[in-house]
Amino acid sequence: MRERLRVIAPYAIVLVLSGALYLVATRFEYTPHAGRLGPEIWPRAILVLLAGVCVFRILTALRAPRDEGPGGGVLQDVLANAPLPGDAPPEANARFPGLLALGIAITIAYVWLLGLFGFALASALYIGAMIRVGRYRRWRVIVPTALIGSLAFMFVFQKIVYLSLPIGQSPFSAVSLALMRLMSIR
Amino acid sequence: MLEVAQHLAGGFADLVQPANAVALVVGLVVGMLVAVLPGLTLVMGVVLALPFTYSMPITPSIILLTAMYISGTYGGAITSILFRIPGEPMDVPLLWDGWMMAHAGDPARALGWTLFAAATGGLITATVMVTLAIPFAKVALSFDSPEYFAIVLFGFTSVVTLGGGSLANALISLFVGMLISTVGVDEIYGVDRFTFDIGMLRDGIGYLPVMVGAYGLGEVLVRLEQGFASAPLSGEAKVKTRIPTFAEAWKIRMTFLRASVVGVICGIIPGAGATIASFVAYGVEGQYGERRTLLGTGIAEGIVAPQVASTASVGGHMVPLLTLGIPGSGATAVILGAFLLHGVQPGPQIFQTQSALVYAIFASTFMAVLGMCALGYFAIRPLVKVLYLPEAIVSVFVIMFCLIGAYSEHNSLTDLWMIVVFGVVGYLFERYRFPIAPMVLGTILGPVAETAFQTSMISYGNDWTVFFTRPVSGAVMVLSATALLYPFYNRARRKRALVAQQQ
Repeated sequence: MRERLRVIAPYAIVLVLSGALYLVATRFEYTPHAGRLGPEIWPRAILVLLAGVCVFRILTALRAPRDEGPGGGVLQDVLANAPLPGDAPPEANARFPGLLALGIAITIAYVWLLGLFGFALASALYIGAMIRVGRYRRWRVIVPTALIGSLAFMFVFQKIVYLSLPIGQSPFSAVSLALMRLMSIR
Repeated sequence: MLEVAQHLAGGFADLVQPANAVALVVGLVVGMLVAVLPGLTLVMGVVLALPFTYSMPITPSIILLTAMYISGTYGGAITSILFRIPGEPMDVPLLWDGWMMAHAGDPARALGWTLFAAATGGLITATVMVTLAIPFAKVALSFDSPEYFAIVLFGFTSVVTLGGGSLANALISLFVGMLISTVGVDEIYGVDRFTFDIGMLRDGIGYLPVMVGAYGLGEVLVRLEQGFASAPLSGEAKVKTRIPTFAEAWKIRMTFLRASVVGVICGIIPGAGATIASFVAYGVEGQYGERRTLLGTGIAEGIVAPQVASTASVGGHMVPLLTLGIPGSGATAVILGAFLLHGVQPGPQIFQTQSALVYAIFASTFMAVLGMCALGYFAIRPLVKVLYLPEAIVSVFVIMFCLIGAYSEHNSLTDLWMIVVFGVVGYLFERYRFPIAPMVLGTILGPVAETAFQTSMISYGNDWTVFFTRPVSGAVMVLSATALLYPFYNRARRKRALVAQQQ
């Protein structure tokens, strides 16, 4: 039962969301044009199809949770008849959900702090933190990589590509402006 | 024919311009680096390069991305053969014979066969592209909106059914992408659709954040969850290449022919990209090859078939992209994105409106193949060195490119939030085995499909049977239905065979 629920969960979530969005689509306000379909027809058709596939998948998963239903056929057909040695590439089995959560959190924090710290400072911190989260431990490499990487991005994108990167708010903006002066970025 | 040759000569002349030549060389080098590095995919590389094309003229932009695409189909072969690490999924078949030949003590020969195969596949694909594109465009000029709708639908169904994995998951991915493309203000009625009074959603969700987020950040998050655990480098580290003689290649000419046909056909069919071409060519060699019983023991045919097919698929993909504006793979979807960013809509008219651009692309394909061979032969040693870069460092720089690339479109931090959202969506898709390509294609082609559908309905008095009663659209609709129903038929057939076997 637990496995069934685990398999069904993503489809059930998509089904509920598609139902909710369908309701939203029925409430689009517009003045109908004679002989033309309304703006809600296309999204509603997509949502009906989406919900239909989810229902189909939930029903098949209830019957046999490990059965993924029909898959791409042509490739399997050709390979099934070919004398292939069973030598697949090594796959990583270990999972680190903590690293993933930390990585997402740091990325969200980076985007949030860009406006406050400015590109140079926020990026140096982000690059250093993400490399460390990625299980690389040599600080003698991490620190220069973070600093040089951040400055290199700043130089390339502001000086060469003429992109206006966030400078941050005071007092951090002073650092960004000083770096820009050093690099002759106007 | 003479006219084509003249235009093509003009295309070659355009390549001499510094911007185009630099774009070609950079594209080749970056494409090969991306393909060599495990954890970075070819599509991800093309996506990351896309934002850099904003400030470039359109010709070098497309040349850059196309060169990356071509050299990307070869680079991963090097690591498959030398270290048993496939740089791309399409390089997995090379583990069987390529690595076996290297392991048996002849890595230089294995690398030589791969290079020769990539060159042959590349030159064939460039020739096919030039030959097929104009007839394709001429036929496409007669298409009306029902035909366009039917063709886009066929693109969707073939992407969904040929992509492998669960059909239901691929369909969900496609519908999610199509739904994303409906967000924003409707063009005909000016109505807000799924904007929920959020200002940033009124402009709609561009395909760029979807692509960059799902392919770039999403892939890095998947690798991060695995702790960036790359396979240890083992095997042959001798990096020399010995090109086979013409006589050696002539002996297996039928392998070249079969694999080229498979590659071009897989390229033209939307959804069946280089990976499928590579596997199918290996499978076909296993069925029809003269030395099929020796496949997997380290023979040249097992290297040539997948490599010729994967490189030959590139030109096949470019034909529907240029003549119909329909991308059949993740990489061509990104190239379409580059066209649209520069205000050029690929389609049958492109030969009239942007003739110089098209022929410059054709010419660059030929030059990219030659450049790829030169790079693969002379620069293989430094290319292999990048494998020793720590993946954590490479991945952080990939994320930075993703974020800056998205930011550069509108100079807006809101685009970065979109990248983060679609990065997480991309991760969830990978984690729960929903393919990303249908979502991306749905996001790009959703508006095309909706416009073609609405225009057909207006033009033909809301008569939906028009899609089935017109000969071309009817035939394509039947093909779509067949593509969608085939997996069900195939499953039933296999079940019957299994039951019969058990009895």
